[in-house]
Amino acid sequence: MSQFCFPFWYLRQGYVMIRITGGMPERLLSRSVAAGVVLRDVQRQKEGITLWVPVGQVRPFGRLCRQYGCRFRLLKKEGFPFLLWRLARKKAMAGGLLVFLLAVSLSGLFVWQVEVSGVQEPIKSRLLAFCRQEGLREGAFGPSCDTGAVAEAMLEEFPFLRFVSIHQTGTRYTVEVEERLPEPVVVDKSTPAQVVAKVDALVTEVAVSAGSACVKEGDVVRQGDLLIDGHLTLRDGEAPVGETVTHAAGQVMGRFEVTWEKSLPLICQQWVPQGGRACQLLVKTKQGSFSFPAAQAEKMEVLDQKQLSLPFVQVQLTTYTPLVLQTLEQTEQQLKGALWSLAQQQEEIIRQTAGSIVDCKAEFLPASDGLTLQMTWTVEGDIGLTEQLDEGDETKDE
Amino acid sequence: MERRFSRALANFFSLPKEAVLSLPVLTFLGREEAVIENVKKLLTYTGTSLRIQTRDGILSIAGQQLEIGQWKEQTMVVRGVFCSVGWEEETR
Repeated sequence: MSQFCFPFWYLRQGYVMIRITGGMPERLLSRSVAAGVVLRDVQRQKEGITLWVPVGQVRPFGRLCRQYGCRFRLLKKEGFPFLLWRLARKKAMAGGLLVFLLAVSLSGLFVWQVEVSGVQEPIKSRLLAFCRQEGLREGAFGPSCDTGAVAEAMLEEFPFLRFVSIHQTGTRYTVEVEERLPEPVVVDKSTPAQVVAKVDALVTEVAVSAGSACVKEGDVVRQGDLLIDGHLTLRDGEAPVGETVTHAAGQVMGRFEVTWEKSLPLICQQWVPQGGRACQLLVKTKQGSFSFPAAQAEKMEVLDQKQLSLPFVQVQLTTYTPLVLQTLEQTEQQLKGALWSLAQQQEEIIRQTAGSIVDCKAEFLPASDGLTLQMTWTVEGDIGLTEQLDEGDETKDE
Repeated sequence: MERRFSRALANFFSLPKEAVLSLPVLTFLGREEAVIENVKKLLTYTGTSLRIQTRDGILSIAGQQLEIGQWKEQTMVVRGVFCSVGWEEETR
C-alpha cells in the first residue's frame, strides 16, 4: 500500500495519487518526465503502477495516458488546497480554526516572560521588580512597552549598572545587564611615605615590609605617633654613609577603644495606621498620569496593589490605609530594647571597618527626657595610617 | 565524432565528464537508496527489477520492493533493497 510520506512543504501545492493500468506504463512515465511532470513515490503493485503527481500536472499527465493507451484512476487527494476545500464545507470548524489562529497571533503580542541575565540574586529580583514597576511585566501589551525608556530609567536608578539592553524574542523579553566594575585602587609605592597611628592604642603586633619600625609590641602610642619610618640610613658595614627615603609599609596591630552614645526620648511621634481602607486609581499614559481621587493621605500604608496593562495605558488600583502622626509614650524597657538594637548595628559597622571586637561595656544612663546608652568597645585592628613624607625629605649623602 | 571530441575536450581542460558527456552519475546510500543522474528513459519497471536507459548504456538494478521515490527532469531516486546493479550492452 502506498504511503504518502512527502515532506510537509510539498503538501502546500496538493498531490493526487493515481493508479495507471494497461498500455505502456514505462514509456508513459519517461514521456511524462520529459514533458515536465514531477513523479513521486512510483510503486509497482498487482493492479498496476501507483504514483503521486502534483495537482497542476494531472491534466497533461492524463492526456499522455490516453496517448499511450493507459487507463488512470484518481485514488487520493492530499495537500493544502484539498484541505481548504474540505474545510470550506465545514464552516464551524473553519471558523474555530480561524478564531484559534487569531487568538494565537493576538496572544503573541503580549509579554509572556521577562527575565534578567548578567547579575545574580538579590540584584536580579530588584531589577525584575523595577521592570514591572516601569510597565515591562507579564501580561503587558508588547507594542506599548517602551523598552528603550525602561533601559534608560534602569541605568539612572541603578548607578552600579554599566550596560542595559532589552531585547525581545517572541513573547519573551530578556533584560541583559552588565555591572560596573569597581575602579582599581592605585597604591603609589614610589612616593616616600611613613606610617603613623590613627588612634590612641596599645601596640600588639608589628610587621614591617618597608621602612624601619619605631614601635614594638606592648608600646602605648598616641594618635599621630610615628609607627614605621620612611627614612632609612645607608650603612657601609657599621658606619652610616647616607640617608634615603622609602614608601614605608607594614601592619601595626593595636588594641584601642571606640565609644558610642545614643539617647532616645520617652515620648516620641510616630506614623500609625488610622484604620479603615481607601482606594486610589492611577492611570498612566505617555502624556502623564492621573489619580482618582486626586487627594490622598499625607502618608499611607499600601495594603494591596493591582496593575493592568492595556494598549497605551496602564491602570493601577491601590488599596491603602491612611497613616496619622501620633505621640507615643514608651516604657523604659522598650527604650532599652530600641537603644540596644541601634548599638548592635553600630557594633556590626565597627566589626566591618575597624577590626575584631575584644571587649564591650554598656551603660544605660537616665537623661532629662529619656534614656542614654553609652557603649565602649575594645577593638583589635590595624592602627596604621600611611602619610606622605614632606618634599624636603630627600636622599642625603654624608 | 562529437562524443570523441567532447571527451578529448573534457580530458584536456579537466572538465567534469558527467556535465560535458552527460554520463550517468550513480550515488548509492547503502543498499537502500540510489540517486541516478542523467537518466534518459525508463525501459522496464517491475517490483524486482528496473532498467534505465542512460547515455552510456542500460543500467539494470535488481532487488526487492523497488520504487521510484522521485523522478524529476533527469534525476531519479530509487528506493528498495538492492541485490545487483549492472550494465547491459545496448543493442542497436
